Amino acid sequence: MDLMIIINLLIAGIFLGALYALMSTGLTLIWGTVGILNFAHGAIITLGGYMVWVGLQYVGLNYVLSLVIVIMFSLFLGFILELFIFRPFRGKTGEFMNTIYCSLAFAESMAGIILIVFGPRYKKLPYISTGVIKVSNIIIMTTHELVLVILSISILISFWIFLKKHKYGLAMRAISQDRFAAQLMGINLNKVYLLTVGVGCLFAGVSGAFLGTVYFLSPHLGDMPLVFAFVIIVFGGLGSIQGTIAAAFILGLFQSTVGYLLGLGWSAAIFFLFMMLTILFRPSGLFGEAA
Amino acid sequence: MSLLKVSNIEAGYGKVQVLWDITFEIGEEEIFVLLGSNGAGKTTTLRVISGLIHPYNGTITFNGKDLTKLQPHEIVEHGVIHVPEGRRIFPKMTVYENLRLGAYTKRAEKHFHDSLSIVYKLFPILKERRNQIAGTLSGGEQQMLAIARGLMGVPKILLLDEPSLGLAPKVADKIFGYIKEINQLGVTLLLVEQNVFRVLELADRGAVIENGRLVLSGSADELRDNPHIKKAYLGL
Repeated sequence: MDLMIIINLLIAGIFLGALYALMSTGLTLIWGTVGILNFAHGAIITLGGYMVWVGLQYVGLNYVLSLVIVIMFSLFLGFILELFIFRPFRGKTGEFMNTIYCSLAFAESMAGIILIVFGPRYKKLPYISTGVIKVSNIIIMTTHELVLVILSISILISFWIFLKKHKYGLAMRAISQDRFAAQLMGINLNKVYLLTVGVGCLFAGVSGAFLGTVYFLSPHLGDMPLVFAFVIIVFGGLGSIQGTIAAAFILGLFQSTVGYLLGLGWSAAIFFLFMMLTILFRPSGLFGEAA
Repeated sequence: MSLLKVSNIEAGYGKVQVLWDITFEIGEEEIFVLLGSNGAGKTTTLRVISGLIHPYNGTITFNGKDLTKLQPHEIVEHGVIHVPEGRRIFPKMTVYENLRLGAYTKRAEKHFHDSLSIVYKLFPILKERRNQIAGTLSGGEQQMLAIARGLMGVPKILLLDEPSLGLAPKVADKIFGYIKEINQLGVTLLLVEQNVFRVLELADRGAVIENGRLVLSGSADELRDNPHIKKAYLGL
């Protein structure tokens, strides 16, 4: 293979990986700390895309300022989810399934509301930057893609530092490792759950804002990313943040390579093949604990 | 003057009652021990005190304040620190991160650096291994970390549940030595132990729980000389 092609695949893979990492981290975080599978994750991704649209079209902001709306709105939605959909079931029998049903119902009602408010026509968010990056006259990536990769990776690194250094970051990790002992440290579980679901949704919203510039905005923008995010967190080891991020980049690189070698149609199939193989041979995932 | 007052506690898990009419008092800077066989209700008593289980009846008073209806994190804020059975350190975090979490409350956070130097002085091995992942420590070191993490919370009373469980006798001796030292720092201790002989040498006073009821209480010497204790727990 030509060196140029390899570089191109590598860049495409890292680009995909960064977006995948961003869209799955929130899901794995909520699962690890709160113990809930948030099926509304995809709907928050969709809403994140539409909030940029609102910022651009209705408020007259630029893309970056629209991200502020995205962040505030997705945090708000996270708080709503935790307070009204997750918390009422906490500690009761059927918590696991009931939160899945209700978050799914929340997601579908959001899709309905989006359809009513914004209509069925697909929308496209503009590029943040319209240049291209060339190496010896060959385009290797657009500046828009570069900006997204840099933003995504900076967000992930900041979050990593937060988890390592900040009191609440440590609390999130502590709860995911031993909820019982975490209480004995004086951690107020409900407070940390609220923050965790908020931050998890913030990740979803921001990744939706990014995805909306790459794919078309539709009331179901987040559906496939939700499924992909599930595959990624299963592959990475449910609840493991570093596993999720590693899995996102591995799958991104793999997908770009397979897309080139076998055709784009295969790239989704490969995803699910990965999931099946993971569940068959390493059910705990890349970084998960053996059950 | 009593620091902790447990009055007429009836408690259990759901509808399964485990404790009946448990009453005892612990004085300041005392080492108080709860004895009893497996399943007698010692751990449940500690859980009631630290708010993990709310009792059906009875009250827990600490320093004159009623803790009975408080949540676990609020009780920790009062300086009642529970080091649970089986150590329950955070296995994928470093020793230092575990200690930081021990000082999570606002009250303990203020004293973080002082507490850390006290803890490192008491357990030099933890200072040496502060960047090691806690799950890779030996059993004895994990128990030290669990106690140290409890001390980081600036306890007024430390509840220790089976600190010698699963440790080699020599290591257990070391842990009992540390408990004495911690007491000398001015920390009141409520100890749950199966190692009755060792713990009665250490304690000031104690009580015996059998089948969820308090059957005996008194000074350590009285307990040691009690014919029932001799027969049932010391095998004499």
